[in-house]
Amino acid sequence: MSEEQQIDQPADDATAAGPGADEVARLSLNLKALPPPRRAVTATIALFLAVALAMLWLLADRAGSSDIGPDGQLVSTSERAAIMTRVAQMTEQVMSYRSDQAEADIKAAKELMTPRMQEDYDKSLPSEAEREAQQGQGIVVNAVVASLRTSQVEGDCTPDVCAVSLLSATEDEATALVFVNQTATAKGQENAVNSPTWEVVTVVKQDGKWLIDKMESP
Amino acid sequence: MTASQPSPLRRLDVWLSLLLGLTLIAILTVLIGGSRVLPWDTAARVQSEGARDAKALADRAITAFLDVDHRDMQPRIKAVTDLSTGEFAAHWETASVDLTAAAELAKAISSGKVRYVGLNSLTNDKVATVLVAADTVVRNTSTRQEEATDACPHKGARCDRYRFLVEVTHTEDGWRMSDLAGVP
Repeated sequence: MSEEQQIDQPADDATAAGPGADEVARLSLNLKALPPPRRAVTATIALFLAVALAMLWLLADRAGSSDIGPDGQLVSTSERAAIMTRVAQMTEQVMSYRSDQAEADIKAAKELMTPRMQEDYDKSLPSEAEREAQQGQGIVVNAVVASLRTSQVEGDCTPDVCAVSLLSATEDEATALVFVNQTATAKGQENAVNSPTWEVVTVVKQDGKWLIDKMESP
Repeated sequence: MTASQPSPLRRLDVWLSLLLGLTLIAILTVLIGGSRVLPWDTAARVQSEGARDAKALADRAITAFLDVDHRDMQPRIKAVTDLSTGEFAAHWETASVDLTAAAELAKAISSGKVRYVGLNSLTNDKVATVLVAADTVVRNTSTRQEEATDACPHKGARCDRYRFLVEVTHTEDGWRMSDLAGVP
């Protein structure tokens, strides 16, 4: 094609002469439409993986050092001992009775119980007439958790010295087996009546406090 | 490289994504399952299993201990010996001679039923102290005249309740009874 023929070409043939403004704009848009560099994608995935692995390690470590066994039972020695000590104290209080201070003893015992246990406890109490008769006789029932030592326990009844054990225990509920010795005395009676027995005591944690929910001597 | 072959970087992305997916699944599994799903023995699992096995052994040992039949004492003595260890086992073997003689003299037959087994303590997953509550029915020459009652519905027998303190120790052969005492 001669130069004259090139100059005489129509104006809309200007693209044939090389990239113009429109062409530059089109290429820019195409560049933006391209995916980000592959290296950045790989780095991002690797970062997420590192964070996830760190999180997995932390969770596994926390689960591995938990105080709860696979069966949901509490395994912490100190927490179990604290529950047993408290159950022993509550059992002694609830199973002891002074006929001349019956109302005070009953009130104090019920403060250690859930509402459900209070109902059961009320049903087990002697009638008012019987309580009056007992007061006349000066009946006193003293309950003591049996000792695991040859000597009498002094101070707190902890599981290393007192016959208290756990049948089951979670963070919020526990069932204990307690060996209790009840001694009943009356005014004018020389001999006391001794009743070694066992109690199965279920306690639940409410508002941070252990309360007796069930108590039986099966 | 042809257009159909993935680049090395793209293959790496696939593997990393796969690993990320598996890690996220593992996180979810641990969140839901807790220590149960961990493939190694946690301290809590070892203690929990130790407590369960120690209590089970105490149950078996007391049941064997309360099983008395003057007509055939040897296998009953052996049953307790097999579940015992240490000085207690040796003492039991020595005492069994007198026990057998006493059972034969009294024509004793008794059996026990363990009612409750509670864990008092477990030390270093090796030594456990267990409380056992058991009922027994005893027949001997002195109970022949007993009548059945609501509390003890066995004619010619006496019903007793026993409170035991049992020490069990983990040995090479598993848990064994290493001491036994009544709780007065």
